[in-house]
Amino acid sequence: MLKNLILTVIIFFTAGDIFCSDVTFAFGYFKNNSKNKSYDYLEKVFSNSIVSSLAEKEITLLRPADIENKLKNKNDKLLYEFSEKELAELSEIIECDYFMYGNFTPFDNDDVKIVINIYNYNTNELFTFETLGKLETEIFSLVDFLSTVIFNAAGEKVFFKNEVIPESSKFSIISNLEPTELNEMYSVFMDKNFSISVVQSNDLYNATGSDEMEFFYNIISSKNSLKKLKDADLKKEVNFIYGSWNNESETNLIKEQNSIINFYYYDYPVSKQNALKSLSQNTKNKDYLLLIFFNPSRTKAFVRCIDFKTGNLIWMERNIEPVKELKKESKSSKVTQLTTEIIKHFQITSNKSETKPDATKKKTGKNK
Amino acid sequence: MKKIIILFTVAALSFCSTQQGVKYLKAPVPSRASVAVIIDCPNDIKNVVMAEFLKKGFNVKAVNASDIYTLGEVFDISDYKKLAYRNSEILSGQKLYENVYKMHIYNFESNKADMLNEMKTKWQVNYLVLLELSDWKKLSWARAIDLNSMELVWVENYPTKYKDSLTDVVTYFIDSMSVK
Repeated sequence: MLKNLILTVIIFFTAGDIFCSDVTFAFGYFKNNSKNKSYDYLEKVFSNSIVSSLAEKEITLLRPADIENKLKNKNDKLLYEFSEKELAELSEIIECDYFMYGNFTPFDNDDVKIVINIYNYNTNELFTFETLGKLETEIFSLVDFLSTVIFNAAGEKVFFKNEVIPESSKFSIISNLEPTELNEMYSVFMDKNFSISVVQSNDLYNATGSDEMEFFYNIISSKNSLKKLKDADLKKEVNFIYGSWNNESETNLIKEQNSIINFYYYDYPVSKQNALKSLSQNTKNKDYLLLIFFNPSRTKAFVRCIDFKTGNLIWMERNIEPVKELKKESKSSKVTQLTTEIIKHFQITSNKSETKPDATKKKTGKNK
Repeated sequence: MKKIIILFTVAALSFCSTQQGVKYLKAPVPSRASVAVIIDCPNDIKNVVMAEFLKKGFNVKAVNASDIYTLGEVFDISDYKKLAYRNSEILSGQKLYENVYKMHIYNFESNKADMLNEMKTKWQVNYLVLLELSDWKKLSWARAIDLNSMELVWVENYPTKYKDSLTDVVTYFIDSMSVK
């Protein structure tokens, strides 16, 4: 408990108290996914409650009503769902850095499933996460939890973590480190009583270089995902030219392309889930897949962690760096010091920490 | 002259500080265990390394590094790009390329683990030992994996010394992984 408290204080300390008031958070509606109309009132309540909860933060907040007012001038109205292209257009019109919207599904046992989408206009990234709470009894704590998660995920560390990682867990680690550096990293993990599976450790040479490792920044899992929306409305652009004039080889080519696109693009979440299931079985690891990317100078890292049991992204964080500047005179290498810092974050969850919002908004000349 | 000596000393000290040895041994590899030693070097050097393991009583299975690895030999990265960008008329090649690459990394790791399971069941190999030997001033490194638990049990970086011979380094590693 004391340890958790100290870690929380550390995170607050690193985040600092300097918040940028020119960062704008806009909240759309939370669509009622059930057929029970008596829950419709919550479509605005969730957004307005989260805004109230964030009121003390030094950021600009827009409620659904504020957005409606802005859209009224354009003879438009706020929708419940958006295509990827519409998200960028809406954010531009209402001049926000982050746009949040979502949906909820109430169940008979008082449980409610909430899905929240956080769109970052400046980076064109969409983070989606799903959580379960009690509608009647825990609504206030649920709103507080959602507010903290949103604030962190929109922060400079793009931080999300919804469960602690238990001691003595087993990890399959994929990283961009060189073999001797990998040994340094492994030794820190093993020294803290964690187990390392055969993934990547059975290689003489590292297959993942720095350029390719950045591909893992965007990650899709069954519930929580972070993805870049650079290819807005792809589905509309797919146009297979197909007809009676096709000869056999053209038909086969189209079928081949179709299956590749389906497997690696539209059905990618399912394809990936199956690949991870097989990886978990073959490596006898039912715990975690950890993707760790170190920058070239080994002073910062980003992390993605997937729980093999559920297939869910449970932790993402960027710009991880030691609280104190890396000690050049220290006997430990930078990799060792940074790995030690990463392990410190195992006990932290989103509702215990806060990072400052990312204020990279370009006031003019937004390019999309 | 003084300046040169100081610079040399600073350079030597900074060099020493970067060449730190690292070791963690979770569980010693038992003598007489059945091991597959993976090392990428000419056959004459490979023979010397295997002989040292045999001398220490290990049951050494013949496995070449090229029998299993590496990703570059199995898949050419340009193939991924070709595959992805061939469809770029209808999709973003880059995004497809990223997904293809990530899937191949997951599948590559999964296939390797499957191969290691086969090594254990078909060839009765208990431990996989990886070695890379380097010259003086560089780090030689080694790892051992228990194929029953599919877990890493030993890692070590060893700064190769000026007087170290090939057999010195191999003997050092064998002793280091065998004794807790």
